[in-house]
Amino acid sequence: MEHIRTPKVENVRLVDRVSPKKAALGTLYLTATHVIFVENSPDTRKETWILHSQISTIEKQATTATGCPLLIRCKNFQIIQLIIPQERDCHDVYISLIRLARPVKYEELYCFSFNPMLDKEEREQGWVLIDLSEEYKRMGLPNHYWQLSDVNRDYRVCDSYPTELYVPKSATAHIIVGSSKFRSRRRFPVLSYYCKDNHASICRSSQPLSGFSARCLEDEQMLQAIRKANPGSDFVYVVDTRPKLNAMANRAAGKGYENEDNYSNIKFQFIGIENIHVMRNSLQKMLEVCELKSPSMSDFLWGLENSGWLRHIKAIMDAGIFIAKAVSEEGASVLVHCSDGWDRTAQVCSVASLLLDPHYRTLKGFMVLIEKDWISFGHKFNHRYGNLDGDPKEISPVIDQFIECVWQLMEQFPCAFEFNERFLIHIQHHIYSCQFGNFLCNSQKERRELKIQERTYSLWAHLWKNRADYLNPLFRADHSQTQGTFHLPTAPCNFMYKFWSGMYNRFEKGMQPRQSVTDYLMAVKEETQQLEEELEALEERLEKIQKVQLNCTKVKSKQSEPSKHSGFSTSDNSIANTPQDYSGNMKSFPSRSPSQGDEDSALILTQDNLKSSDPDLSANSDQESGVEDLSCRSPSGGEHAPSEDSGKDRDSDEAVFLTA
Amino acid sequence: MWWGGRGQSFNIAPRKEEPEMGSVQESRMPEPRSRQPSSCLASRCLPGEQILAWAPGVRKGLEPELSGTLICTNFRVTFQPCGWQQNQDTPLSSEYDFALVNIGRLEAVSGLSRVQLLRPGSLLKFIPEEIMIHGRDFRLLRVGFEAGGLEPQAFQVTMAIVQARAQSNPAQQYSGITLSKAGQGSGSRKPPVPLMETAEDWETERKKQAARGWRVSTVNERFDVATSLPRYFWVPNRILDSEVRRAFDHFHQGRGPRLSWHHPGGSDLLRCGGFYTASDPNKEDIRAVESMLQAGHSDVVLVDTMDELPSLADVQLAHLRLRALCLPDSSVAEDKWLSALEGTRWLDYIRACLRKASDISVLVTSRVRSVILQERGDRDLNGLLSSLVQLLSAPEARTLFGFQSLVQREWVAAGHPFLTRLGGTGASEEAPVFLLFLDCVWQLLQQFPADFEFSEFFLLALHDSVRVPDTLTFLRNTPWERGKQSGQLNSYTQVYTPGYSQPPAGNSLNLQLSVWDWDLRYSNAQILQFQNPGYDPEHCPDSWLTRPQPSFMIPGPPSSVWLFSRGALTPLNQLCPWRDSPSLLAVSSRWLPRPAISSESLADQEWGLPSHWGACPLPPGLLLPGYLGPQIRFWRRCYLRGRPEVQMGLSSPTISGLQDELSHLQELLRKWTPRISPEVHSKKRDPHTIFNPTEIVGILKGRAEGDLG
Repeated sequence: MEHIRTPKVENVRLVDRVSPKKAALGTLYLTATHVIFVENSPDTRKETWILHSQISTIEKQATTATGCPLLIRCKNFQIIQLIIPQERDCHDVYISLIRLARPVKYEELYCFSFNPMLDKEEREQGWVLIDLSEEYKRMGLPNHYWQLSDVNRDYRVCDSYPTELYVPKSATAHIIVGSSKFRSRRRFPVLSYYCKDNHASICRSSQPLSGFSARCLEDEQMLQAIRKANPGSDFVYVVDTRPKLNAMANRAAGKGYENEDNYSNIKFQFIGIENIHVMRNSLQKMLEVCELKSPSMSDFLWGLENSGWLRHIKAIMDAGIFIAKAVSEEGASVLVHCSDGWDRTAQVCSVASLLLDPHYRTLKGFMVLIEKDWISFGHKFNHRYGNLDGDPKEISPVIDQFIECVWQLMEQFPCAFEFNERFLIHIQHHIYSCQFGNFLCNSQKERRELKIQERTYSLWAHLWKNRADYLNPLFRADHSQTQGTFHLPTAPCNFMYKFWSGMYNRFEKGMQPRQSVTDYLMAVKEETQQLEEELEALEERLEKIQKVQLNCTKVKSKQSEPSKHSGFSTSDNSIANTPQDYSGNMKSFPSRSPSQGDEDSALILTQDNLKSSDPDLSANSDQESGVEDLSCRSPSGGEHAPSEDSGKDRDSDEAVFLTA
Repeated sequence: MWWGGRGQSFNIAPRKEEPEMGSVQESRMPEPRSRQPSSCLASRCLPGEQILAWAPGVRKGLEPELSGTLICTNFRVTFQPCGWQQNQDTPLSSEYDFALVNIGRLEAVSGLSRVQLLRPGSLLKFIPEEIMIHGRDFRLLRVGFEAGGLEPQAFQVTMAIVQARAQSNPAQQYSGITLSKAGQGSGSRKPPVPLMETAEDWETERKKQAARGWRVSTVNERFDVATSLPRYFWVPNRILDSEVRRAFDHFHQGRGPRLSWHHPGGSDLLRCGGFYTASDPNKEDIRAVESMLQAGHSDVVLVDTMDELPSLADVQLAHLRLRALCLPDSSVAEDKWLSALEGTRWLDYIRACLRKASDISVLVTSRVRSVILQERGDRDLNGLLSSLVQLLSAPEARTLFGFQSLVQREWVAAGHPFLTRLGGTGASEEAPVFLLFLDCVWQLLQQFPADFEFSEFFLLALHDSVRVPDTLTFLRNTPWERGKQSGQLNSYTQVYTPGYSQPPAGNSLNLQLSVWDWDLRYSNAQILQFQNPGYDPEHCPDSWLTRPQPSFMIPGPPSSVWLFSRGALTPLNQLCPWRDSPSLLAVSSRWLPRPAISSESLADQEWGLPSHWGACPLPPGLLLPGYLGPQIRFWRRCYLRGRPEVQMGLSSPTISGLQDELSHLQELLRKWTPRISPEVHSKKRDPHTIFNPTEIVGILKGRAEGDLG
C-alpha cells in the first residue's frame, strides 16, 4: 500500500488502439494488486483490470494538449494506453506502478493474498491433484531397469533438481555423485520420460564440464548405465540442443559437450536452438509487428519473418521430432542437454513426450507434463518471467515457446488434444499472473522453503474445476490421430508453422474472427450431452407412464389418478434441466461467440471469474483489499453469472412444465 | 438429386446427334486395346471424347496406394482406380480428373534422380517409372507404372499426354453434356439454380429483391446490343428500351449501366463499363445515360473499380508466383517462406479486394443512393466486387443456393470471359480473377464461419470445376457463345411479353447441364460436405426482406454526385465525361464528408465504429470483414494440396468434428422418430438442413404430456 502514491485518478482516457479518437473516459484506480479502469459511460461501466504482475513495461510519453499519455505493455500481450489529464497524477501513477510491477519479496505477490474461499482440505486436495509419483507409476516405473533414487534427499546433490529422481538401476550413488560433479550446476543425467513399450527413455542433464579434454569416468559410466537400461538398443543418442558454435564457445569456460571418443556407444547430435537472449529479442520484434496499427500484408509477413520467431519455434519442434523418432522408431534412449538443462532441455523433452505419448495430450496429462518437465526439474520461473524484480537479461519467453509448439501441433492434429486453445492461453496467463503458487520460485527447494503449498492455491485444481471450458470439442479418444506417436515430417515444411493470432493479438478484438467454430462446437457438444440425459429421463418417464396406463386398464380410471400424479412428481426432479433452459442457451450462443472478449476480460478479472462460478464469494472482501471503494457496485462479471441465470431458468422452467 | 435416382434414369448423351437414344451402353468408352483391363477402365466418355492411350498404374503419394488405370483422352487425363465403376455413384470422377488445360506441369520420373520436365511437344527420353501431373488448380497426381512387360504402355500414355496437351483446344472441343429428357422429371426436390437465360429467371429474381423501380429489359434478346451481355437485364422502369439502346452505345463494348442488386433499404448497386469517350452523344443520349446511372436517386456514387485494385496482369502474375511457390520442389529457403509468400502479392490483392468491397457495402448500406461500379470492361473486377458486396450485405447470398445464383448472375450471365481468363485460349489475357474471388470468399468464411451455408469443400469443388470439360458454365466467354452451343438461339423469334411466363427451358428437348449439377462428379457424401455445419440460420431470418429498415439509412444530400476513390468520396461536377454534359451544382459544404484519418475505415466514418466490434451494432445482415495483414490467411487446403507433407493428412478438417456431432444428433433423431407422432414428423425439414435439437425434446415432451391425458 505504501507504494501507491495516488489510489484514484479521474477523467482518465483509455485510448482505443485502432481509432485513437475514440477514447473512453473513466476513472483509474490503483490497488495493491490491480490497476483498474472504470468507464464513466453509465450504461456499460466497463471495467478493465490489470494485475500488477502482468505489467511488462510502463512508458510515460511526451505530454500533449490533452494530457499525459501512459503506455502499459503487459506480459499477456495486452497494451493499454491511458491519457491522464494532470502531469503530476501521471507521474504518481507511473512511479507507483514501476514499484508495484516489480515486487522484491515473494510475499508481495498476488497469490499470497488471493483467496478463492476454499478450506484447508480443499486446498490440500488441489495440490495433490497432479501427482508425479503417480505419473512415474503410469510409465511403468520403478521396474527392472530403473529405480527411484534418494541420492538427492534434502537436495544434497543438486539444489535445482527435485528430491524424487529416477536413475538406471546400475547407477550407484558413487556414479551419480561423480557424474554430478562433472555436470554444470550438478545437474546429472536423470530420467524424464520412459517408453514402456520398447524400454527407450528420454533423459536430461546439463552440459558436461569437459572443457577441451577433461574426462569423468563416473559420467561415462552414467551414460553407459542409461544405455544398459535399454536392452533393445546398443547406443544412446546424446542431443545437445545448442547451436554447435555456442557449445564450442562453452569449452573455453571449462564446459562444453561430450566427446564421442570418450563415451562408448553414443551418437552425438547438435540441434541448434538459440539461447534465451536471441529468443527474447525475437519475441520483441514480433510484438512490434503486432503493435502496428494497421499492418499491411508486407508489414506483417516481412515483420514476422524478420523476427525469426517461427523459425525458432520450428527449431524446437525439430528437436522434439528428432528425439521422438529416435525413441519410437529406433528404440534408442536419448540424453538431452543444453547449457544448464533447464530451458531448451525442458522445451525439447516436453515436446518429445507430447509427440510420443497420447496421455500428455489430455487435460490432466498436460498438467502433469508441465509439472514434471518444467516445475519439478527447476525451470527458473521467477527469473524467466520476472515475477520478482531481477536481472532483465534473465527474462525470456521459454515456456511461451513450448506452449506455442503445443498450439502449432493442435493446429495440425485438431482431433488429438483433449484441451483447447483457451486452456493454453489461460496457462500462459497464470504463469505470469502469480495468482496461484505453482509457478513461483526457481526450484522445488525454494518452493518448499517458502511453504508454497500451505500458503497459496494450485492452478491445476482451478483449471480442473473449470475443465468444461477447456475441452476440445473435436477430441476423439478413438481417432487415429489420437493414438500413439505423431508422425511429423522432418522435411523442411516452412509453411507448417503459423502466426498465433489467438495468443499475440488476443486483446485486439478486431483481429479475431468474429465467430469461433470452437465455441459453436462446444455449445453443440454440451447440448448433445444435456439432450441425451434428458432423453434418458423422458424415456424413463414414458416407461412409467406406460406402466401406469397398463394399470389403468386393470383398475378403475379414477383410482389411477393419484398414482399418475405421484409418478409425475417423482420424475420431476430428474428433468429439471429442460428445453426452455436449453433454448435459452441456444439464444445466448450467438452473442457469446463473437465476444471472445468477455472471455479475455474474465481473464483479467480472475476474481470475478471465480465469483461468478460461486456467487457466495462476492460477500468476501478479503481478496479485494484496497478495492473497497469499488465494492458498492456489482462486479462486471456478476450479471453474467451463469449459475444465477440457470437457476432462474430452472425455476421458471419447472413452472412452465408444471402448468403444461 | 433433382433428376431422379442415379444409374438407370441418368445418362449422358451426345446432345444433338441422338438426343433420346444415348444410353449408358452407347456412351461406354470404346475398348482401347486388345488387352482391355476390363473393369478397371472407364465406362463413360464425354461426347466427342476419344481414348488416346492408357496404362495400368498405381496412384502414389497418399496412403493407401491405389492401383488402377491411367487414361489419356483428347480432353483429359484421368486415373481410374480399380473397382471404380462399382463404387462410384457419380458418372464422372472429381478426384483424379485433370483436364488437359489444367495440367500445369508434367514430369516423368525414372529411378531416384532422373526427372524430365515434359512440355507440349517434348520427346520422352526414357521409360518412365512414374509421372507427376501438377494441376493448375494446385492438385498433384502421381502415378507409378508397373514393371514387367508393360513399359511400352507407360511410355505411350506419357507421350500421348504430351501430344494431347500440344493439340488441345478446349474452346472448340467441349460441347458440354446435356441431360436427355428421360433423365429428368421425377422428384426435383431442390430448386435448380436459375441460369439467368430466360426473362422469367430475371423477373423472379427481380421480385425476390423487391426492386420495384426496375424492369427486365429485352433489348439484348438477339445479342445485338452486346454479345457479352446477357439477353436480359434490369433497367429502371421509366427508361424505354430505345433509350437503353441509345445509352448503351456510349459505353465500352456496349455495356451500359444495369442493376446488380437492390438493397432492401432502397439503395441500388449498378455496374457498367467505361464511358466510351470517343463518342459524341447528343443531349438526349446524355440525359438517358444520366437517368440510368441515377436510377431515381439523388445521391449517386461512382466507384472506379480499377482504382487500388490489381490489374489483370497483376492477378495473373501473382497467381503464377503462388503456383510456383506451392510446388513441392519450390526452391524457397525454409526461413524465407513468409517473404516469398508476400512476394507473390496474392494475399495483398485479396486484402485490397476485401477492403474495397467492405467500403462499397458501407456506401450501399449507410444511405439511400445509387452506387455504380464502373470498370472499363465491366467483366472482371466489377463482377468480383459486386458479388463480394452482396455476400457482405445480403444474407441470402450466403446460402448455398444464393451463392450459386450469385455466381451464375454476376459472373456467368454477366459475361466474365472465363475461357480467356483461365487460360483456355492461350496465354494472353489470362488472369484468374474468379479464383481470386473464391479466395476472398474463403477469407469471409474464415472470419464469419456461422454466416455461410456452404463450406470450404464447396469452394474447393467450385475452384476445381473451372476447367473441367463436362459443362459449359466456365468454358465459354460470353452468354452468346454459351447459348450458341446449347441451341437456345433457336428461340430468336420468341418475343417476350411482360407478365407472361415463358415455358421453362427444361421443356426443350435437352437440358444443358451446368456446373451446379454437382451430382455429375460429386457423390452424395461429398455433396453433403458442401453444407457448412457451423451455419446458423438464425443469422439469416426468413423475413429479412420484409423487416423494417433500420434508421441508419439517411437520405443523401440533394442531387449530389461523388466519385469514390482511394477510400474517400470526392464531389464530381459532372456525371458523364462528355463535352455537352451538364455540370452539376456544387455540393454545399454541409454534405461534404469529413476528411478521413488514415487508419479510419469508411465504416468508422459512417457509424463511428470502435475498433472492437459489437460495441456499436452494425446494420443487421451486414458483415464487415477485417483486412489487416494478420487477418488475411493463406488458403492451405487449396494451395498446398500438392505438397506431400500436407497430403499426408496433416491438416485434417476441423469442421468434420461438427459434422460428427451433428450426425450423432441425427442418429438420435432417427432413433426417436418412430416414436414421434406422424403429423409432427412430417414437419421435419430436409435432413440436409441442421435441425434444431430442441425440437426433438419438445416433441417427446409433447408426447409424454399427451399420454398423461
